[in-house]
Amino acid sequence: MSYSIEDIVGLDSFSADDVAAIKAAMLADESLRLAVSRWIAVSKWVRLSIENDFPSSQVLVRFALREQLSESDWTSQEWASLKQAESVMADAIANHASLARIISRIQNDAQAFDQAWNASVDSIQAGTIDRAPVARRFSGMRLVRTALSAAAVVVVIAFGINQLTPNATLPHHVIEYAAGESNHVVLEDGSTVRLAENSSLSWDGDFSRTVSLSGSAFFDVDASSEPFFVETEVGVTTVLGTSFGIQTIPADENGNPTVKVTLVSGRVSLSGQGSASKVLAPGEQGIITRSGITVAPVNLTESLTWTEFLVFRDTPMKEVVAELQRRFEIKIILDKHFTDTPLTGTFDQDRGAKEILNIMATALGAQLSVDAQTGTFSLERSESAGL
Amino acid sequence: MQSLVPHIEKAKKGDQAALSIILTKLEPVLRAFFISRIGRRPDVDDLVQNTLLRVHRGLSDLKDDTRLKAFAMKGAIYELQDFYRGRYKPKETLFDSDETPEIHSLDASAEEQMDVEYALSSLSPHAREIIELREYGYKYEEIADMVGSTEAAIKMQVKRAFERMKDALMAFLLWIAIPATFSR
Repeated sequence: MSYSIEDIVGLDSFSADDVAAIKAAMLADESLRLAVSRWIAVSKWVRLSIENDFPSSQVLVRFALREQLSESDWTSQEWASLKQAESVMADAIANHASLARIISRIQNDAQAFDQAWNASVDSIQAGTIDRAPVARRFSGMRLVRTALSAAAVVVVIAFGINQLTPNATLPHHVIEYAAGESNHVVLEDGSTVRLAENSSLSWDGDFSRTVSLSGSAFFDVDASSEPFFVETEVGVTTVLGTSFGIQTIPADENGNPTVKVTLVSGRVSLSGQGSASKVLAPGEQGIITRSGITVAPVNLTESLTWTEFLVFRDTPMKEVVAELQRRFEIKIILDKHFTDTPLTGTFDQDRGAKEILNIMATALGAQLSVDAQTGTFSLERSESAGL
Repeated sequence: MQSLVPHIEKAKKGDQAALSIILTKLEPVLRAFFISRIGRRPDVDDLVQNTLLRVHRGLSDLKDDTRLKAFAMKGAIYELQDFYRGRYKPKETLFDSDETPEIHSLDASAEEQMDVEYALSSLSPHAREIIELREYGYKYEEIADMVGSTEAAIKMQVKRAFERMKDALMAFLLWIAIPATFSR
């Protein structure tokens, strides 16, 4: 490719191939070499004036966010530098109109952060047990990996453990949901439970992370050094912080009940009467009967349909979209760029298709639009995504 | 994320499990934020990582545990601004170090500064603003978004600005090619 100075000035970045080709072009064309020299000279000079006249990027951030954040949000050092900057910023902006644009841009950055935060918080606040979706790409994420590893938890389902018996001296709390209903329970420690129909949750006295479950429920237990106990018909589940579904299947003709534990996140160890412990990884289901425990990988979305949650774990977006289309009987057009992008998240079906797609769009950096006439949803790359 | 408040208190006292919970909850928020600002790029991983490290290292400075959002936002935007400011370097590889035009730095003589200032003064305030934003570290597409224009229109303005500066720059470039001891 032959390069003109206009081509070069218009480039945002230079690949190694660009540099080699431009160098060759400059060797062959002295006027191009001079033009590039001029351009670099101007660039450097403007940069030097920026370094000389602009406050540091951190001070700019403080100045831009001074209305939004309060004094207590800054360290004393940050606050002092902000007060100092306020006295000179007017002059700096008068000399460099670009500063006003940058300040405005930082304020927009804050709005974007707000949206990302709210999209995530909406999904984990009390009343719901959604989890924020994560479009995964973990290379270089050592710290987060450590964090996830430390958050791994152990669930023990054991037959034959002494069941927690109601204490007649303490008040007995019961939350029940009849057929046709289902609801969320937010417990005092912040853990959330979604009870399936004909299920109930109870505990004695002051809440102390010990509950009895009759029926089925999806748990999202806040991690804590204090274990969380779920008593079921056939045993006790001990949890330190994870999300999983416990489904109790009524006793068969021989009087043997079955418990299915489906793990979404965390780590689970199952032990039953007379059988060796087995470890569940996310995406696996343990089926526990009196004769033993079997563990197998499952499709989380299908296995947890009874919870009325949409559960995805590193699921390619094309499959996510197919499930949403099936579940909500809608049409979704997915930008081919996202077809194989893996998505992890748990969504309450009650939120509706539009809200769920909005959260996904935020996680993907995509734009969601709806065709007013056909009702078709579109997830497209946002304008800034191709930078 | 109100439920994180008890974890913040524990994390400040060195509880690693509590810290891990906080970081794990923050990670998807930060990822979504950075993707919304710079697109889906490998740099997002580094920005998320650096912000989590900021949160980790600075958690003891958090005065009000209910203000984690403001604390994380501040760290994320610091990182984003540092990212923009570190974007320039590549075009200087167009010249090998020994052939890069010698530009005197801030201690340059008043006369030299006037040459460039004169060249820049030939520009409209809008064109100068665009060049400053470009040199600050924003990409043309981002600048277009900031000033309410299109990327193509912004590039055209920069090219025209450069044309306008040519004559004024000629004298300056002759000077920088001459040994510093040579008196004009």
